[in-house]
Amino acid sequence: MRHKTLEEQVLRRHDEPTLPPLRLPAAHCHVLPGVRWGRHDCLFTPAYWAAQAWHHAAELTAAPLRLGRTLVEEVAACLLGGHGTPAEIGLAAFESVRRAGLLVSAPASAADVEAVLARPLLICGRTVRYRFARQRAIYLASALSRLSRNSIDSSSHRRFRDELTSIHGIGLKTASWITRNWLDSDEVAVLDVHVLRAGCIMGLFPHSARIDRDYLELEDAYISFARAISVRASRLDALIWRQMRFAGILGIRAAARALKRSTESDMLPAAA
Amino acid sequence: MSGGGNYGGDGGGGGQEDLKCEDLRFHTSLNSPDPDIVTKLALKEVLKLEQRKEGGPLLAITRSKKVAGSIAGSLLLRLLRCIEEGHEYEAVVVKITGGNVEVEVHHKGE
Repeated sequence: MRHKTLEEQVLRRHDEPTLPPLRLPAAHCHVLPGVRWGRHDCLFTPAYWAAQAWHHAAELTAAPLRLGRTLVEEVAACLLGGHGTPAEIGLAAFESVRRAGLLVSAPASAADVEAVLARPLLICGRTVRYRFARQRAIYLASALSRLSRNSIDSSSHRRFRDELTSIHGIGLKTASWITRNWLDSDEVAVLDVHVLRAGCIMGLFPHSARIDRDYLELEDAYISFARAISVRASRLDALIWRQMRFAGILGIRAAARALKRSTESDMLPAAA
Repeated sequence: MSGGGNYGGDGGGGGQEDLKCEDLRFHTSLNSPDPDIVTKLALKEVLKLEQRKEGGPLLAITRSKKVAGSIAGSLLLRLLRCIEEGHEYEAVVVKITGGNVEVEVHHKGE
């Protein structure tokens, strides 16, 4: 019998039998140099992500990514949901600031923002405190001030993103996040620990990669990957983030296995 | 761990998180069904679900320990998370059409 990895992978939607099947190359084929498709029925391979994007296509295309009704709100939502802040808390803090009226008319001061962020948040019946209230208040006030002075040219998504990074407290990741959401952009990547892990598991990113140091190179690799599997980059990183976050220990173990494979192949003697 | 944010609206293709493991039940077609094994399957036959290799496919195994196919699809991650948490599942053959085998995956002990 032909080995499974040599066969084209054909996926059918059980709930939609009339939908044309998704055809993916055989598992052993390369999707990009050095990165094989893998099996779609194995977690976190390129074929898996292509399959998941296909399975969830309706949700991915229908749901807008914007968190805010204006660019100011979008910047606030992403700034407040940054590193170290669980998604639910970031969103609750954003709602709190929005309801307090700090994102309309004259730019709010850092003190005003901090006063709102310091209030306890009620999430799923629990009272939690927003961490980094003072620091994020300073960043948000800075962003509000900047946005009130000039608009940002959005004709080039990458330039829009780069302009956002000139705002104190907004780095590449947050700027990319804002850009992706606000402009529905496929020209930037929102790279965080979850997407990084997924990339390392696939062999798309080197295991030594660091987001803070290698963001632009990783972004280029990620966007090439999205194009190679014919999935919009903007939807793919949201899908990967959500699933890798949910995967928890399964993702951590997959990354450890991938690192082990990579280390073992590095140790193989070079061919004579 | 938050890993920072990457969320956007309701996008992200998921919704798996809300499903309780005990309630996880769905119909799907066996992926890559083995034609030689399929000819011997019977309706209502119970297939064991097993991952023989960490990170490998979730295989549907007959009583005679033959691999009938694997489980794939939109709920694969949820299923594997539940199995990781100690829940067990089986796949019951509900329809065989040509080489296609439809199964119902459900929590064992139902």
